[in-house]
Amino acid sequence: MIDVTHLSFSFGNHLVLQDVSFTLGQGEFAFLMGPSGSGKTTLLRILHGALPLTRGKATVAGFELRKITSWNRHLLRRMVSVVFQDFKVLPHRTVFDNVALPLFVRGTAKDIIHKRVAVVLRSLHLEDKVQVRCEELSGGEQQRVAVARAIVVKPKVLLADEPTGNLDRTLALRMMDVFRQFNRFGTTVLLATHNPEMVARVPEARVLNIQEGRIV
Amino acid sequence: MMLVRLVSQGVRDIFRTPLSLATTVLSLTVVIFLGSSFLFVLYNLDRNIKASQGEVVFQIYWKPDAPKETVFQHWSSIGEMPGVISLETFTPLDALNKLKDRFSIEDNLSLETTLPYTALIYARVPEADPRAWMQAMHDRLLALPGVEQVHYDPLRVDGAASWFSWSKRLFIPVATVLLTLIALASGVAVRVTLAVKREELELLSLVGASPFFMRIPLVVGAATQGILASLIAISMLYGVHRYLQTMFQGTLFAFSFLPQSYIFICIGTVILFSILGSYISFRQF
Ligand SMILES: Nc1ncnc2c1ncn2[C@@H]1O[C@H](COP(=O)(O)OP(=O)(O)O)[C@@H](O)[C@H]1O
Ligand SMILES: [Mg+2]
Repeated sequence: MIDVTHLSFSFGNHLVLQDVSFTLGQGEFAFLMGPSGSGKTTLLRILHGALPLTRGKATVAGFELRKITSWNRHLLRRMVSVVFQDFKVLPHRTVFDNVALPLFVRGTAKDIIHKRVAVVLRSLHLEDKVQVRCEELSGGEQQRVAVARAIVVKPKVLLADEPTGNLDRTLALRMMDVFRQFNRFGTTVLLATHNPEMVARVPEARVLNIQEGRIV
Repeated sequence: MMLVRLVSQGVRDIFRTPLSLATTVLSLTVVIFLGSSFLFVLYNLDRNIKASQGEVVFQIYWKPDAPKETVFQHWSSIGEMPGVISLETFTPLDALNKLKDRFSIEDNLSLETTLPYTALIYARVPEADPRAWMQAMHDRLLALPGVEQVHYDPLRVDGAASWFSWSKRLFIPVATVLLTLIALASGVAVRVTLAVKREELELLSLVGASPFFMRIPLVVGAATQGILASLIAISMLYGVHRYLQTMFQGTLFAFSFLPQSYIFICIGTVILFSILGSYISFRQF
């Protein structure tokens, strides 16, 4: 599902990722473990086409990243959902609007959108906030909205960048259970974190350790 | 279904940011108004000069002793000459009555015998080599037996001829500059919209929106703003036109509004360049 070989990336002349190679099969759950600044976010960004693949090879959900252009990138992104480290929720829109957005851009019918959004919001305990605007939510609540938006489309691959960073311990652990349950339905999950406790919560998961841009 | 949704979304989106909408429409309106005003002035000057050129007048005097029958014969033959639109004839009696009218002369002076037969010949001058045509016409009239003098104003013809070559040379560059201005204003308008919506567009792209999904509302929004601005500007110009019409009433200078084809070209250009502008600004996503 994710196949990366000899991938390197630099911002200007600052080499951020060095010769990264790994493979994740369908339905696998993997942690990308590493300290802040080790290149986790950069790698996830390359994997959903937000940064160009300049050196090495990578295939995600059947798409060769080298062949991604602005005209076919949306096809990759319909297979790959992302939970962003900085959430990227639309502050002036309601929770419902934010979570419904990926379904809306796919042209999903209204009644199906309503059903799916309701189910996902319930699983993340956001059912009371459906019509609340996101700017009125706490950081943890916004993070859960970001997760809801990522999983509502039932993606083939889920990339999550420190999705529990703003949650207290209990909520963070509960969130890991949501990912785990979701993974059981066949979604490949790659989750960046620097918190070993989260890793311990998913004992069946693989761990890719990243340090200074290298998988070790 | 999806397309209808995107189009209506594009229209709704621009009203969500009223300030940006107002500034965009205002600047577009100013440019379109200026542009269409120039077109309007050019168009009317062109028309009026063409019209006056078409009515160049020859004044023809017969010798006072020319026999009545010859003159009447001339009057009917001049009317058939090529280019002649109409003929106004004056017998010495007509001329006398005219004089009387003009100067409110009551008593019956016997000027009849001293006044010649005269006529005003209204003729349309061909665009090609008007001077030569005028001269030929002059010579032809003068050659008629019994004709003493023929007058016309060659300056007026020169003026008309030089305006023709000027307006032909000026029209294309002026129109190009103005349409480019309209295009630039539309392009800037789209960029403003893009800047305002940047974050939202980026997110749409991240959650899998297709390029068309993101572009259609923008293009529709830009086109809507262009249409709004065009309508306001054209209405303003129409107001100016009505005002000028009443101001110049009774003079020879007749204003007529821009023909529909000009207006459609104007609005079409605004829309076309809005679309082009939004496409070009969009390459960053
Ligand atoms: N847009 C950028 N421009 C330049 N350098 C960047 C940019 N984004 C990240 N970096 C650098 O790349 C390195 C890895 O960053 P990042 O991938 O965000 O690490 P992590 O997510 O593991 O904390 C850091 O040294 C960071 O300063
Ligand atoms: Mg990071």
